[in-house]
Amino acid sequence: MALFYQKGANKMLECKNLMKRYMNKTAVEDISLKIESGKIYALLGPNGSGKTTWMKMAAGLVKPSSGTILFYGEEIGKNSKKHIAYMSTEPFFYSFMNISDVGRYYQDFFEDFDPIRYDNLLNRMELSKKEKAKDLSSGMAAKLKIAVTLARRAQLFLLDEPLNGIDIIARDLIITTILEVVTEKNTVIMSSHLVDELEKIIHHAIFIKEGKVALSGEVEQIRKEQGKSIVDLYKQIYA
Amino acid sequence: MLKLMKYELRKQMFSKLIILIGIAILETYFLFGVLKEDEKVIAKAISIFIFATTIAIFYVGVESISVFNRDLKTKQSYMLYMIPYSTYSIVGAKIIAAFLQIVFTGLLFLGAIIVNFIVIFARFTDTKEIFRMLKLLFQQLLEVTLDLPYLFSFFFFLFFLWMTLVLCGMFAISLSSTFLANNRFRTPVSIVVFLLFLRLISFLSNVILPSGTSQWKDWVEPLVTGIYLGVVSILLYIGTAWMLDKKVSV
Repeated sequence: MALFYQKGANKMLECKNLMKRYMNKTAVEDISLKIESGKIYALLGPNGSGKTTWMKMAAGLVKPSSGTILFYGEEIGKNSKKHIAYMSTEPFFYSFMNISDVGRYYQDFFEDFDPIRYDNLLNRMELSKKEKAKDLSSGMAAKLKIAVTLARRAQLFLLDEPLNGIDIIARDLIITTILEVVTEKNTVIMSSHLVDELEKIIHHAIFIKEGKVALSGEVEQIRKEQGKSIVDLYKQIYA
Repeated sequence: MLKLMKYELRKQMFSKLIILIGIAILETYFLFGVLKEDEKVIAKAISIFIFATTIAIFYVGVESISVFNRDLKTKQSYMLYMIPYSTYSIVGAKIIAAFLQIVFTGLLFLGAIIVNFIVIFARFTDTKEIFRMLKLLFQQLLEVTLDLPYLFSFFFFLFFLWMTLVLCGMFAISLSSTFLANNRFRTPVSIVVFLLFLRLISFLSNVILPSGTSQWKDWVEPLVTGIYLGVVSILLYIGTAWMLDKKVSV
């Protein structure tokens, strides 16, 4: 942990002119951002705006075509992966795994994984350890992804559409759980279409449009300057 | 690395179970022939055993390449590439796991074949004749004198030949992923790249290795070719891990 977190140095993640191009398609055109510790960020935008690609670049799964992305001043790679917990929007567990195996896998590879917290989260999500991950309904699979990701004591959580496939009652449970993991030493970045659900809990909003940052800032400041709620701004930017 | 290998082995556990069941069925067929003292059944069972060994070892290699492809193509790739391990460790673990599975599969068949010969020994008296004929068969098939240095050299060559094939498959998949990401033409392009690289490796082998190999002793040629393939394997491994580290997105 001490390798990266430094008191006072709260610029956790920084990207400059980040671009990702796939053959004839540009997923991220030009994104420059600074992410600070101790905050909850919302990455907002419609499908195809570049949110997922940006998150995958921060998680080290996608290689940028150009530009830089640094985690505490160091390139994304083996070391940053120790401290960044990524949750994709699709299920990604091996088909032979049951819920218990998923926890064991994370325990095997991530030093910051807390098995007790995992058990507590599973209980809270009403998931049984014996169930096969591939046989879970979409809602249950989404809960498992959340449980295993938040059971890490990571410095940066990248949650791609964490409320997808979750019913209204369970959404509150997920949001409460996410709020519990945030401390001054870590950061949560969430992407979601459900802007109204996020507006209540985020500190910072980043609007992504066609692979670029359309608007970024502290939620309170944005509301004051624009005279609109985040939901209304979302409608204005993407309508 | 051991942890990575553990999960690599689990991914291919099912095929090992199928191989075990296949051996059990073949063994039953063989024992049925022994009990009935039916030479035709015994001969057929042993032939199938040898054929099945080749197929099983080939299949394990193909399955290793296929798992590597799946680990890049599907969302399961996140499981592997989000962990804090270098791509050199990830590819290395895959290679060692594939090798262990070959050894496991080979030993299973070898064990079964040894058991079969013990049974033949116990049941029939004229075993010297069986061995004499087997040795003759091998010598005629391979056109060499069957001795210990040759056997060692031949298995050394076979190991690196198999290693080169598996690594060439992984290299071709990584190379096509670098340019084509998740494009639907990625798999056919990987196959073409794989065949082209095999052709190149074979061509370079003819260029690099001395032309007077026919004057060498029987055991030298497979040994030298094995060393050449070992170097090729190392280069393919470094190339694959480098591409995964620097170029490939999942």
